[in-house]
Amino acid sequence: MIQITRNITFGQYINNGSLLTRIDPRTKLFCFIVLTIVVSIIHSFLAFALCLLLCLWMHRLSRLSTAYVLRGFKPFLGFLAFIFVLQTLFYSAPAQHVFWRWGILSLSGEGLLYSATILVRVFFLYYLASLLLFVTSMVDFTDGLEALLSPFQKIGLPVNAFIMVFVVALKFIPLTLAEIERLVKAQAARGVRFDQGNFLQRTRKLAPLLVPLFLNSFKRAEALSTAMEARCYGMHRGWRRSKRRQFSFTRVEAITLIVVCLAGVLALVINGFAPV
Amino acid sequence: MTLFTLHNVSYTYLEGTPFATEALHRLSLSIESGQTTALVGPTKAGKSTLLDLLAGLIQPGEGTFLFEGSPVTDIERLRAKVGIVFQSPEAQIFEETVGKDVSFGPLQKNISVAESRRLVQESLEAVGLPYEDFRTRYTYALSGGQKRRVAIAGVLAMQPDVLLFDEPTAGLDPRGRRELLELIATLKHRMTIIYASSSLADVAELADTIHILDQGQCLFSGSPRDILARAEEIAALDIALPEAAQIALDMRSVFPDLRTDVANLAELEDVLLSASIPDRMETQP
Repeated sequence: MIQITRNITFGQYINNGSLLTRIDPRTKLFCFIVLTIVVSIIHSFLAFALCLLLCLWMHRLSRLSTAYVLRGFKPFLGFLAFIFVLQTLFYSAPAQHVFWRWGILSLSGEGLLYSATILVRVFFLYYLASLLLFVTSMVDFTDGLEALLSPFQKIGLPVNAFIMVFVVALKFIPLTLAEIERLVKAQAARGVRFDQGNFLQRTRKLAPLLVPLFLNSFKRAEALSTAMEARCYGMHRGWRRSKRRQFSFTRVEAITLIVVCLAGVLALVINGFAPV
Repeated sequence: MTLFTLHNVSYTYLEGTPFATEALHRLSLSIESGQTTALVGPTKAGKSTLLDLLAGLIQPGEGTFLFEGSPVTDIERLRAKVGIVFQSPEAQIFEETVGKDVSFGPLQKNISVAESRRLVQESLEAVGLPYEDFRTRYTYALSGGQKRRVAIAGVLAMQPDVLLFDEPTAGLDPRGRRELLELIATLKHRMTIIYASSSLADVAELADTIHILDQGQCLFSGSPRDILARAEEIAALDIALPEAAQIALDMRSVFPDLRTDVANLAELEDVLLSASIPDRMETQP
């Protein structure tokens, strides 16, 4: 419990200089969005197989340790199993296909298939999200997001402000985690056993963490807003932030876009024709 | 009696990930009971990790770690005997009044209210805050130095035999720093103190033994005088020296053999007066 925060590695950028880390972030984000949509639509296992091939190829390009990436799935597995069981039991199939029924709970081939599809889909989405974060630094990520959302700025949506809120929130995550770790240690040294007691008792033990955590977060937010104002951050007329770094769209990006889009279209076509 | 014995202890954060960092590397040292021991080193020396280990908050990855001569099997026993005051301990205060916050630790141990009241009173008096005056004060209305004292009282109320301090003077104004060091000097007669710092200035007068750490290893240990005598090596590690020792070190450009193991300016004066006058100064009219 004491070292929780140091052991969270989901989505931490790993700068290993692979091709995926170097690709233009707009392209990466766009490909991510395309693949997310495709994976959310398809339900045929043949189409999923095509996506798996694409993921394996991307994984090779990322040069990440497979064991390390799979480790990220671990805390997630129990939850997935729970969802799978619920999905299967509550699926309402036509009566003739049901193997077993008890009240509103039932077990059917269709239910199993449907839940398996969802399971695979969630795996893909989780993998895509973690891969994106593994190969994209936060600066790249937010710059890319801002570039992709810039059309909305033209119709009057405050994209810049939205991105800034997002960046600040992301920057606060490691700070907050470090703070939690510090508080957990300090209260553990004062005799709190966070790993003992029933659910209610454990919940009560969070008060010594949450009160100082919120107090300190508010203080930090206030200091940050003052610092930003002192550096002339604002939203007055004609205000525009420029970027030191320019994006580049080269052949690599073009090939990536084409491959991903083609794979996506192919997956959708296969999905349209395949029976399951 | 030897309180803690560490032999070839290593500790790595995030072991087995691309973010693995080794905080302690085959560290060996021993800490005596009843003494005041200082752990001094630059940032990333492993001081905080070592303190977490001594307080029973983490387990060593490799190596031997003995508490009172035997391996730690019951972490609760260790935690009950060892109290720790973290950097900026005021951040751990969460109750609205001083009395409630200080009694938080004792009440975790299921003792009677009367007993906890006695402990709170003793601990508050020990850190120089009158009980009747401060018991019902709101914690958010205290000054920075007072908050730090309340946090220390909260640890003292657990009745530890050993008290660990992690850079306790960081961020305090000169007066707060002086008062806190005076407080620790009074506590050292009652219990074993282990004090981690990135500066020798705080601990040169306070400590009985000093261990110099760098990159997770113990470079050398000794009494404050032994350590100050090696001022050149200390300065090379970016560890701040006490004023007198720093002046002595700087004056070595004029007096190459000047001793640096001086505790205060008066001693520096004596050392200077007895120092051999360099040749090139004698030749001047």
